[in-house]
Amino acid sequence: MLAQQGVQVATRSPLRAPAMGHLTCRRDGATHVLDLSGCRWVDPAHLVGVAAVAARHAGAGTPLRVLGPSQPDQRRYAVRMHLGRVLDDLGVPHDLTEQVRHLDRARDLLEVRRVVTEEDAVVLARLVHDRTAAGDPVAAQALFTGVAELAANVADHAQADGYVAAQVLPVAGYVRFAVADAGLGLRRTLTGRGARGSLHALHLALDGTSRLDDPTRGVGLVTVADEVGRLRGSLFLASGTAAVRVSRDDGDRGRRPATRAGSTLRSPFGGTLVEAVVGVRGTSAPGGVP
Amino acid sequence: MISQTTPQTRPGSEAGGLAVIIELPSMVAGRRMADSLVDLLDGDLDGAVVVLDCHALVTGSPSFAAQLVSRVLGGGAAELRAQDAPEPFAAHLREAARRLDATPRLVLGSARPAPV
Repeated sequence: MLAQQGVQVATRSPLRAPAMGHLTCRRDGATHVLDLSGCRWVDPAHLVGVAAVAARHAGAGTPLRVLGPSQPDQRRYAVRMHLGRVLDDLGVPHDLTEQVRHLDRARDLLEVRRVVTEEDAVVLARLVHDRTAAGDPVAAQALFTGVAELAANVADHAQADGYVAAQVLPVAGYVRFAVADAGLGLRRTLTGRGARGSLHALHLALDGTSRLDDPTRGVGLVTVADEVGRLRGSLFLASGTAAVRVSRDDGDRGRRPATRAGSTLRSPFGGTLVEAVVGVRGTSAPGGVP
Repeated sequence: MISQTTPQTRPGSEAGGLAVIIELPSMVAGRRMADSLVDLLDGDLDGAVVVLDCHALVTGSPSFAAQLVSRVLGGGAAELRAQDAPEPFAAHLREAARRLDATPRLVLGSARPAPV
């Protein structure tokens, strides 16, 4: 994991959206295979995405096997982030069986965690807050809001278990966190609000549209997107056949509104996945990246 | 973990009537936490002045603010007075009150004496 940061941080922008194609399942006879072997950079989005897909298969009783990244650093990262343990809990076979040294990374990592209730969301949000508060209390507050809101959405709307993971990128000065569920997805959730397709549903959600007829609903995602933009970050939201990335130009300091870039996913994500990147001061590990 | 963040409520007095004081812990999030807090209040909120004591609050989520405002002002309270709310949380309260068309009934202020 650390080498993943150290080797690739110079060539990969922390704000880059996760490659969703790695979350595509292929068939191998009667078994579905989720194959990360070609994944050259593993993001928290991939980890929670795999966990959500696995939860969906486990719930439906459809056989799934997960193949981890083939590159050693990425593979160690996936193991260190406890993806194998999560898959074990779900009864999904995988090849992430090796042991890795668990150096104390309590300040930098929030391993993949399951979120079912709003209380789970608050606990995870506090953990992420506490890992960043000493260096950047303002960003820590935004992270608390982001994790709490996005994870609580799972409990509120998805009707499925969700997963959360986070990672501090000390050299780049960012925190990346991701939340995914394999629930209804935004298109189905917002059909009653006029969603005409996956991309339209994503825009409706980012505009603050809620499935519930309550004027105070729909504030969470809007606030998170705004906070992320204010902290020189970006937000990536994917559901069904579409994805939207929300960002501000570097150096814009929030003077201009955030821009949205929509895209079509070659392979649909059956549920909702959000990854946010937030700029954080004071995240540098002592002595740089170990 | 959650028990550490359970909000405290206590009765208070208000000139001309009874105020209900809700004391928030350091971090609040989610609609259920707001619900549990309001559910702790005794009696009818109709016409009441509810004081939200935010002196210990570090951060609070917009959904928590929205639900609290919805339950208190949507529940018939005459006024919600938020004291010492950090600005981001105050903004969440204002937005929730605006969405409910209840902005005049939300009062933001400080319980601390003004510096001499």
